[in-house]
Amino acid sequence: MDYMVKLENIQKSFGDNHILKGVELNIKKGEVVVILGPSGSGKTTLLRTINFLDAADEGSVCVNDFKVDAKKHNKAQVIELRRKTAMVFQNYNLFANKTILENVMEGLVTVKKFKKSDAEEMSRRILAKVGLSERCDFYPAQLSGGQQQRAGIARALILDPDVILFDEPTSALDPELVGEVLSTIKNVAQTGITMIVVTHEIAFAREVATRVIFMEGGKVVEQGPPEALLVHPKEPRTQQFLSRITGISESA
Amino acid sequence: MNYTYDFASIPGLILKILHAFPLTMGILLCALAISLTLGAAVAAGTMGRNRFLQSLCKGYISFMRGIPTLVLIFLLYLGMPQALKQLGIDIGSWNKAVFIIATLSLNASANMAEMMRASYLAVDKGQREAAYSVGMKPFTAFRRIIFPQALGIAIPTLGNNIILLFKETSLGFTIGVIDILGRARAISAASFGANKLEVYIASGIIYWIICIVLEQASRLAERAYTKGRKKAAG
Repeated sequence: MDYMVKLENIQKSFGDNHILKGVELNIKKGEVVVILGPSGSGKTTLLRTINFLDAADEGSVCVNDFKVDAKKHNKAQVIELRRKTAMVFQNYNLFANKTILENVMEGLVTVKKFKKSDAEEMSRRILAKVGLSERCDFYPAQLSGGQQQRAGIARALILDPDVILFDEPTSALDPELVGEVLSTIKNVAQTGITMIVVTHEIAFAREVATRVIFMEGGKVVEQGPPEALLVHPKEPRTQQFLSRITGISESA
Repeated sequence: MNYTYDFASIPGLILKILHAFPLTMGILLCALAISLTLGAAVAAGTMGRNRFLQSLCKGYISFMRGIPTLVLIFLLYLGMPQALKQLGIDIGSWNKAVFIIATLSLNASANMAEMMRASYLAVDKGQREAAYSVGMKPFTAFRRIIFPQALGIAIPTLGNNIILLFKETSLGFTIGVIDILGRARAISAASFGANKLEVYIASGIIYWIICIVLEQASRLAERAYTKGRKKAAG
């Protein structure tokens, strides 16, 4: 199988609220997939079903040939699946009780069982890459949002996952900090790692994505290369959404 | 009839009463250790999946918070031996300190359980999700991420609970434990109650000073533990 991520018939409800209505998605190694859609369309939930932070009710998730069936998954499978993925959160979710360096080291030491000295060396190297060499010994609360998110990206990257899931990585940031985080993500994309990014940053999607997916009402409405989907969308709902988004950004 | 007060005798009385300090501290530390252990178990029970255990633990907390400490002391010290005697078990000869430790442990465990539950729930749920996202098992996430943060949140309440517990050790006098208050009463009785006021002022000062020390210790512990981690305002 040559797909890195394969989602089949993903269904998810919260109570009576049917969020995901049978999503199918195949992603090849090295693809940078950007998921767009109005709020409530299920894009964040979809992302969270991939690493089972929200377990789907039906369907299956397959990452790098490791397949987990939503209906009969067990704890060991979920942990294995999570170890093939990494996630960057909207609110960064850095470990508040640990320094930036310890945040990045944590997964290497407790999950991958690296020696502390090796983990530290690797962590410092990756923190330098995201421009945080000077902030290693700070706690998350002492950093700006942009710095925290770059540390969050380092924490995900260092695990060398098969796919990185970005859940609206710039939505909680002050406008002037968005740029530094987007350029960090751009650098990550150039390393050839498979990425799925939920975002509202159209310009970023256009520049970095290899494929853009438009979701609405718990389904994939349209997908294609960024130029095609963003400039010449076929579906009226996609057109509507894009004109609304660009309308907002023009008036802002 | 005129009383003559001798306030200059208070420092001397304080020193005499302080002979009971080790016993009071022993009671406090034992009750603290047991109530924390018991509280952790009860807190886990209230948050676990087992419905029966949930209601059992909630009922336990409700009972222990609702019953006055003094009633519980009498229940354990007077009621229990009577009941157990009928079963052929004699606990009437046990050291009295055991009963006050048992009472305080049971009583405080309810507060401790509530403290632990509240602190646990106060940790942002994104912290657990982040731990899971890097591949940690639930217990590892608890040990490395959730518990250390919950502890930081719990310290001020814990300090408060310890102070309450410390003051309640004084109830031991009701069953004849010679702790700080017990000793104060004994000294007073030895002089046929002539220096009641001075003795109780002396013991009051002792309790107060120890409480101040505990308060400061709690504040320092919190500051040291959460150093740098707390968000600056705004």
